Amino acid sequence: MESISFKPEILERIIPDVSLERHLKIGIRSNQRLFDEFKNIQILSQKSSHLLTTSYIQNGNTLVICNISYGITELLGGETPEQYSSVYPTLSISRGRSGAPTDEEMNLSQKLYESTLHSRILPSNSLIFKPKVMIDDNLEDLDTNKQFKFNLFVNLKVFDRSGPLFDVCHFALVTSLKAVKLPVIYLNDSFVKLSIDNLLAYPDAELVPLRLNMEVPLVSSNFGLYNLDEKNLIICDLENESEESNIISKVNVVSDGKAFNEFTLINGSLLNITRDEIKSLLRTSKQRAKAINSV
Amino acid sequence: MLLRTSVLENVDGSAELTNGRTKVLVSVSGPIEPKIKQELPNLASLEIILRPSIGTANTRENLLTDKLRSILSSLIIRHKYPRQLIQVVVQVLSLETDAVVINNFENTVDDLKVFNIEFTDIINCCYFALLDSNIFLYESFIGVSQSVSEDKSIINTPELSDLIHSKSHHLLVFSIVDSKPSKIVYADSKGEFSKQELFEVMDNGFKIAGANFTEFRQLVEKKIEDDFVWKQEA
Amino acid sequence: MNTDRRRILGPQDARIPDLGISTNANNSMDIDPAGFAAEKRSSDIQKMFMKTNFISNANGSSYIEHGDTIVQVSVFGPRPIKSSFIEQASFSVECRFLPHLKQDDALDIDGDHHSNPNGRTGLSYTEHKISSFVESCLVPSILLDKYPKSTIDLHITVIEHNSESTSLTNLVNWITVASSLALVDSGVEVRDIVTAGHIISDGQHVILDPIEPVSKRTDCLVCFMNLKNEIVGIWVDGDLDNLDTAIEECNKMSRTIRGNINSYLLST
Repeated sequence: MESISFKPEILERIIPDVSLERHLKIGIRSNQRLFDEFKNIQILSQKSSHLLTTSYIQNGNTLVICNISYGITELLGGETPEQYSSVYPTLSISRGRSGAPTDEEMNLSQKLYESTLHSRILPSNSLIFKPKVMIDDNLEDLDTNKQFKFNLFVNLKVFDRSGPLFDVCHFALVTSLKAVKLPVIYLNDSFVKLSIDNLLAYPDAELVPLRLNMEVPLVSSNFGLYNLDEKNLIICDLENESEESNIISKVNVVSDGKAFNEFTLINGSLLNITRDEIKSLLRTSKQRAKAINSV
Repeated sequence: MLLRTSVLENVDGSAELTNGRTKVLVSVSGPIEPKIKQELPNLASLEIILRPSIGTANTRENLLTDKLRSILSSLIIRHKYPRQLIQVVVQVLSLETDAVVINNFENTVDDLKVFNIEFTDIINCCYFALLDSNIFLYESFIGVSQSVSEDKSIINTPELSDLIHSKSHHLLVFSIVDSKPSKIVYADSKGEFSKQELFEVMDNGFKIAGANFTEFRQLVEKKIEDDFVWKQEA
Repeated sequence: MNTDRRRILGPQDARIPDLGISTNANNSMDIDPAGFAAEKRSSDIQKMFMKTNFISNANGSSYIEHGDTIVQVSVFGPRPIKSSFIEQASFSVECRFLPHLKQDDALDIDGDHHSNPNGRTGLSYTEHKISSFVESCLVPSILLDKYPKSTIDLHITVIEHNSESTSLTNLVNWITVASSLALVDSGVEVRDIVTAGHIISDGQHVILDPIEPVSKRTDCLVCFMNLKNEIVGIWVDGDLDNLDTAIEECNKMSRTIRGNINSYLLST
């Protein structure tokens, strides 16, 4: 019988586990990156207006467009909000289908929601305000006990997915939050009833940057752990089908370069993970966070 | 902690776990015939359904299901059941945050729910339900939760009020070999913490996992004793 | 409680406020369309930026920037169908605006601009209208019978569009051009590349590729396959006295665009 040989990219599609192992054995990855090399991540452009903040983020080939808009709610009497708030993210990954959000889209949105809350970057009192009132073309303080709150709606659109998306979506979200500016909210007239239906965004005053409990943007990094010849290989920033579906021991770390805000480990292949390995992951994450924030 | 096993008649294994104000019921059916699209040629496929105590499952439950799937699929010996399906249904019966839902502070509740306080109990209840169903496992497992308060002290099995005032909170799942914790299967740490704190939490988690598993083992031993009705007469 | 259990939409009663009326006209952040228009001669076509083949998990992709408009198109296909045998490929177009974009008010029947836009699920009336227009313009150009048992799906994303400074018709013009480019990029066999031209006319004067919004004027968009001078689609808003002139002017513009596309494709 004749043996059949396949090109590497075809082998990767038909037997991804074998393709992955062969690559790693000779010390390379199918995406040509080094084991400890992350895809480049950068903000392409960012702008902010009275009703919307938009960022374009590129990570490798992946492009993420992040839009943050807001809605206003009235705080009910007696309602004391938690010290920190979150945002309300929705996410869609362009992959040529339409319909209800997929599990991946739902899980990413929920992760971003939980992450923002637990990282304590968004203090509730940055979002709470008292509206002003327009009297004779001048904005004046309104005498009221009513309080209102901005609710941030985040929409992420992802083009050209090639690997796990949490890192880039997280980056898009936090860097966009840094750019959010909120307008002064006012009533047009002192005779109008004070309710959310009558509030307007004031177009002439300068926008106020959103106050965050975050000096530098948090950075999320992901790693895969793969057992090769009884040793654990650490592979940074998984990409491509073969790595994503066959490296099932994964770690995700969120750091600001000093401390950590998130550490998630899923040991899918029940590896013996040593303390030194975890230390090295934490160190790399810190360094990456510092490097990205120093650009 | 209160545990009852084999509580359901029409499934292969089940367990009900009550821990404080959290009550969880888990059923396991399998190996059973999968739907064609679920079938895997050399592995058992895993279907996990999580139902909350109030309302319908939303993105939060979806994410919990996803986490639970990755934990269980690494521990069940799936290649023992090729082309088969193992179905795990988790029904949360009551939750500490439920009282708040009734008081109707929606936003606050959403914020409180993200602490996922029932998740450790779900994992532990799954362990007993899987044992009850006689599904093969690589290793036993146990979930423990901890929180670190502002004064840097570690609280084991924190309650909701502890979590709200904590600086960080940590969920760890260890596999168990010879009644001792062996590997970290899953870790989920959120909040603000240093490297040192993370390792302290891991060490402490290792300890309490060992201690708690002694209790688990007694429950399992008692269960085996009860299940074997044809005991040899002394 | 939110009824949508697949999306995180926040409190249901949250309301997006309107922007108050500025008392200081110069302070307006928006580009003044009139100032722009003054620089542009009526026969000019505005500058545009185009790019293809930048999305690796689609078969073809294109990106166009034109004024305030940014459009992205991905082609998925030919892909196999799951259902029973069909002799020729089925072709579908789905156009979506990013949720926060304000769509044409006049066409938007369910337009509630005050609730969280991320909760919108189905296509809006505007999106439907654009999708079916683009679909009917492109179908004649594709050799569908070359691809039995397949579907070819075109996904259009309107990334930026300012409904106050650019008319819907102008947007559709550039969507059509972007879609043709993406089709070429995908390698699907086509008879010709569909390009379009857009004019406004007040009966006497004709302006090509107008950037100011239409008011009481006629707005005409015609799509062509220029090789044989065939018309594949016409979109007219308002009364048109002289259809011939309008078509002629649109044809001029579509030929210019076609020339640009040709040289772009040859250079890539």
